[in-house]
Amino acid sequence: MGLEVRNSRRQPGRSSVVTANRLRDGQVVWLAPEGRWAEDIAAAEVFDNGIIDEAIARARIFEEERVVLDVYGVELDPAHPCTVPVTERERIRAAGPSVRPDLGQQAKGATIHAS
Amino acid sequence: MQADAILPVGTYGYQQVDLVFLNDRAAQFRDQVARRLSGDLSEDEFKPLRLMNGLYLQLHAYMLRVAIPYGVLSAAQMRRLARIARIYDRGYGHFTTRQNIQFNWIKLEEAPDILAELAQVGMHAIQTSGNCIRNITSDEFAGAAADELIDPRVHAEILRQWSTLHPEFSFLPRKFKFAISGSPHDRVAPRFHDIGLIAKPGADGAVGFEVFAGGGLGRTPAIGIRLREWLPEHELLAYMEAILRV
Repeated sequence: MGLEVRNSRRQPGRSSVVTANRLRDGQVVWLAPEGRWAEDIAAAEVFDNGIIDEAIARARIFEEERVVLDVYGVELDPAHPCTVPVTERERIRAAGPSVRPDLGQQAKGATIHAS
Repeated sequence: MQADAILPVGTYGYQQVDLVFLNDRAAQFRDQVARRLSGDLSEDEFKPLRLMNGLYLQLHAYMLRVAIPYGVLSAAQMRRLARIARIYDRGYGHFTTRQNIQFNWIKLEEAPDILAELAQVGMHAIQTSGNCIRNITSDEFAGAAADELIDPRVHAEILRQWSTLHPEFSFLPRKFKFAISGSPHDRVAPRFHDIGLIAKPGADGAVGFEVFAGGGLGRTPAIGIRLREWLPEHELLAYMEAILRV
């Protein structure tokens, strides 16, 4: 199952963020306000699931401009007060390698950690 | 390594023609990366090219998988891998169960520089990705084990040369893995490879191979079957080709 399908299962009323990998170094990035791409998910712009497909479609311009690749949406955990994805995969992407807590955003004091 | 250098023990000594090929390959990839960054190549066009040079896009960053044929490294090669980890990555690499090494934090535009550095010590990332014949693994005690009937690195090298850039086996239905042991005792998990070879003495004292096929791990693990009790050494490549063509 591709990422596109897996990440299109969104529940109404919840929120999502837009993610991608930066073309030049593959770094995980999150779409932030004003079209910036942030390395920390805490800086990501949060969209209601009702408009996330539109936001993803707009973000694809950055693929054409060769800033990022593999743009898709990531649903957030509504039970969490911070910007934390629902899936473990995306939590690990946001935090850094679960086997190397000294690397990735988790090493920079980010609020998210791979479990 | 120059063509007139002292030949290494236990592994193939790269000749000038090999080094020229690897340098050309690194230069070719440098051009492909430049065309990707300039927009001449789309990601769909570029992806198969980078994968043919062992460069994956993984969860956190690009990953470069470097081939270490049958797990044998010279000191110069090990030092070069360490240098690559220091200069281009985050100070470490991950040795894999298939006896390769992976660097996990590679920058796309530096990947051609890494291939050029690898080429200088007779290394590359060819056939470390894709549906082709992958790195041939062997006994970690190859050449030193008391129970060895043959040194499996010789046959592993023959298989490596035969399978490298083999046009018929470059686009198989799935990736294809060999393991070979020079000892009748299993230290290579032959039943968990597409083809597993175990050296065995024949009736006349000549050494041949017990052949296992059809095994594998990953998403659909399978235990290989014994295809041949004893395969004469001189039939090795023809028999391997026959299996691959089924």
